[in-house]
Parts: sequence; structure tokens; C-alpha cells
Amino acid sequence: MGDSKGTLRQILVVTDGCSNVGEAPVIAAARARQRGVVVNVIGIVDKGDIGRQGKAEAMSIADAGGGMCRLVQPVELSATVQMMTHQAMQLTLQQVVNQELLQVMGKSTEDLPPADRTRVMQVVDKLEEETDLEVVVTVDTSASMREKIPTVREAIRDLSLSLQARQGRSSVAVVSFPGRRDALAETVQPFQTEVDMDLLEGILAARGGTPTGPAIDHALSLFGASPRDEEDGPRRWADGANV
Amino acid sequence: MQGKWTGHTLLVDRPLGAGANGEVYLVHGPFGRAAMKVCANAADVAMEWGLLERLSANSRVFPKPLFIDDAPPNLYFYVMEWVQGVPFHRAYPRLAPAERRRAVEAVLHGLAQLHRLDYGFCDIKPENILVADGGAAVRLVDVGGVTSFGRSVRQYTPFYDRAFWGLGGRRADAHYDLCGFALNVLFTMEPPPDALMAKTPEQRQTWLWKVLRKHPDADLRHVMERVLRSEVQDAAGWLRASRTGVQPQRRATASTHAPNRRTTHHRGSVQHTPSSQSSGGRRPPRRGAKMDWTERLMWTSLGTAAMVTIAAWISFLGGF
Repeated sequence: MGDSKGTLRQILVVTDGCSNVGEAPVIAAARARQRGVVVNVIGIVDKGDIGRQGKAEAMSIADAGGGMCRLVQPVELSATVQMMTHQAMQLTLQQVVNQELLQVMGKSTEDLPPADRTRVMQVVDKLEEETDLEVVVTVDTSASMREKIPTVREAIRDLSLSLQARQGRSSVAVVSFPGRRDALAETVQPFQTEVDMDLLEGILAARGGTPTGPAIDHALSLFGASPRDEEDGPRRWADGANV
Repeated sequence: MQGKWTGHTLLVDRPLGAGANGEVYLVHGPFGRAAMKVCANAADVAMEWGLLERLSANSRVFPKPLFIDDAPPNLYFYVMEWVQGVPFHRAYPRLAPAERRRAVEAVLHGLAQLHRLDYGFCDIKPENILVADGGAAVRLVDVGGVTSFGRSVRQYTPFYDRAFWGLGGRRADAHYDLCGFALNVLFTMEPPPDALMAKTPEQRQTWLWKVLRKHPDADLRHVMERVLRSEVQDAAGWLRASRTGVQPQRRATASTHAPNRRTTHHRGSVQHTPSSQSSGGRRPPRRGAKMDWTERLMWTSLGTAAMVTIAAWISFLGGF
């Protein structure tokens, strides 16, 4: 069982509008999904300025990235970030378990009687607590985000509190888009087990467009740069529990 | 509605509420009137059912589970005992002082029961605490956040979350629930403003201590402060602390006997393993161990103000 468990990888895009620079974000999200990275999107609705177009784009990015999409008020951001990360992990693990079930029994979880399902879910629940997780939070820093950035910063700190409480190893990286000095995207914090609030001060509203596509690509490249699980081979998920 | 596996027919009466992952309805079925939780996600239903079954075997705090089933094509549900009552934040302000104390104790007894099974309630918001009979009967509903001790809290509401206020981590333990409950009691009087979301935990705490200071019930205020400061770690500790009665006297004796204060303080720093020592009873109640921080703050600021005034006068007079 442990052999099939690597590290779960997610990109979480936090934005309040439509992309307008670089490649279409849907293409970047599809590429991420191919590489086993789930892309979730949170659209911040503040006085309704995400619009119908922004809403449609957020949904299609999540669709292409195999993840979820939520549109929330700034107040709900913290709880949503945490909930989505949790649900996306649960979903991925459920898919893994479902596949195994299909292979072994020719049945999916839904085909099982409810009482057996409960037992399957306990396995999923345990896995979720104990697998390793890597998340890149990708934050829109275009001008319209200015007032929401303190809330975003606190939401990231809050996410990291939740992840630290897990038994598995978790690390968080933070990317902002656009970056400073005309960069399309910029790594604010590389993968770390804890967030560094001083580094997060680097999330600042920037001038320029909203290069969501290039930002997803940038986030994806961070996973490539961390050689962890491919190189040291499949780690048993139980190991993480003792760290 | 008819269940696919049990064949039970249910008559849906009216919605009772909505949770994080589904809705609850009042239904009529083979067990009479009951509550039905429906989700679009089979996993959540299965998970909550499993928890309810395990918990109800040893405790009556949560609604009694009746049966779990599907309604094709894609509704998943379970049926449980229908619990009547008023949500805590609406019930509490309307209770008389004695009833309030009774309600608080009832919640603590409920939590203590759950904690003895090594589970935390975690998503302890007022909607999940139902009060009936003038505070005599309290039940907990929504098992969605229940987490075994030592695991990361799976579901919570930011304002009632220990970590949100920088008062501790987000791993389930007895103190997590106590903190959450103290915040519930506190916010029945003054709900926190949304603007706190953009503030740092330190700034949030400043607001929190201010509200705590304004809380009208002095006894409760004192216990809650000790809970929020992690000096009281489990439900038994809270109950003991609130039962020991008259506050001011004990406080006075505590502050005149310096050695006494030291020993109690020492004991406070040791009791950091919350779940292991649920037996309780051995530890004598400690209260008023430290000088109230607000008092200290007041004297410091008064002192500073006096110094500044003197300095100003000196420089003013010196100028001439």
C-alpha cells in the first residue's frame, strides 16, 4: 500500500479577476494536471468585481487542473483555503483508493454498501492525515488586489498552521503574479514547512496585468526544483507520521 | 424518498439547517420523526456515519444514528435522532444567571464525555450547540468536525478556532474545545468584526482581551481567561474552577501569600498533557494565582503618563 503513496501536490490560485497576459491559464492548468499536480482556484468576490468572465475562467482553470473552484468574500478566504486544500487531498486519495478497489473488486466506493464505505473512508481519512503534501499558493497581486493582500497573507499563515498540525510532512511555497520589476511571476517563498511572515511581506500589489497562465507555469516549475520524492524513492506514508 | 439499501420510505417535512457539506431535513419514517443529513458526496456521509456510530455507543451527547442509505442517482444520506433546541448564541443571552451556569456546565459535561473517548468536537460554533429546558439539556450536533486527539482539526470556524487567535495550535485536544467554547460564550455578548480577518494574531488577541475584560459575569470571565491562557486544560478543570465559588476572597488570600502563589504557578506549567489526566480531583483548584494583567497594564500606563507629564513640565520650565 505504501508504495503507491508519494507526495500530494497542489497549486492554489487566489485571484480576483481575469488573466490578460501570456498563455491561457487553462492550458497551464491542464499541463499541471498531466504532471500529477491538482490546481484549485479561489476567486475573491469583493463588491462583485470578479464579473461573469472572471467567474467562468476560474471554473475552467479548476476543471482543467482537476481541482475545485470557489468564489468567496474576503472574510471567507481563510476558511476556504484550508477547506479546499483538505477536500482536494481527500479527492485525490479517494481516486487512488477507488482505482485500487476497481482493480481488486471491480467495484467503486459508491457500489459498496454504505457500511463498507464507512470503512473505506476511514482509510482515506488516515491517509490524508499522514501523506506528505506540497502546496504552492499563487497569489494575484494586480492593482485591484491591493486592499485584500493583508487578508491573503493571514490566510496563508493560517493554512500553514493547519498543515503543521498534520502528521504527514507538509511544505508551502508562495508565488505572486505579476512579480516585481516586470517579472510575470515571482517566488515569494520557496518550499518551507512553515511560512515566513517576513517573506510574505513581499506580497505587494504590483503594476501590470494579470498573468495567471505564466504564474501557474512558474508554480509548476517549483515542484520540478524540489527533487524530494522521485529521488529518495517511494517513502512509506507511515514514516511521515514519526517526524 | 426511498432508500436503495434498506428500502425505508421517508417523508421529507422541512429543512432544519445547512452544514459545511450538506443539508439536514426533518423527516417522517419507520422510526417516527427523525433528522436526515443529505450530501452530494458519499465520502462525507460515510465518514460522519462512522463517527456517529462509534460515539453513540458510549455517549448520548450526539444524536443517535438510525440508518445510512442512498437515494439514486446521487444523493447520499443518513438518518439520526431529531434533536430539538435553540442554538447556543440565541439561547444563552435569554437565560437567567443560574440557568446560564447550568448550560455552561452541561456543555462541559458533554465535552468531557467526548474527551474521555479521545475525541475533540473541534467545530464548536453556536449553531452546533443546542440548548433546551432552560439550559438543563444541551446536545451537540454536526459530527463533521469531530477529530481524534492528536490529529489535525478537520473542520473549524475561524472565530471559534484557537489557532486563529494565536492561542495554540490546530491539533485536536481537550483544550482546543475548551478554548472554542470559551470563545462561544464570550461572543454571545459581542461578536467579532470581520475586519479581524486581515489582522495578525497579535492584533486579534488585543481585541479579544478587551472583550474579555468587558464580560459581565466575573466568575466566568476569570475561568475563561485561564482557559484562553492555557492554564485550564480540560473540562474537569473548568468545572472545578467554576464550582469553587466565591472569587474575590480566594483571590485576596492568594495574593497575600507569596509562597502559595509560587507553588500554584509551578503546578500550572506542568499540567501540559491534557488528555492523559482526565481523572482529575487530585489537583486543588488554583485561582487568582497571578496578578491580573489588566491591572499591571493599568499601573504601567498610569506610571508612564505621570513620567511624561513630569518630563514635559521640566522641559517647559527649563525653557524659560
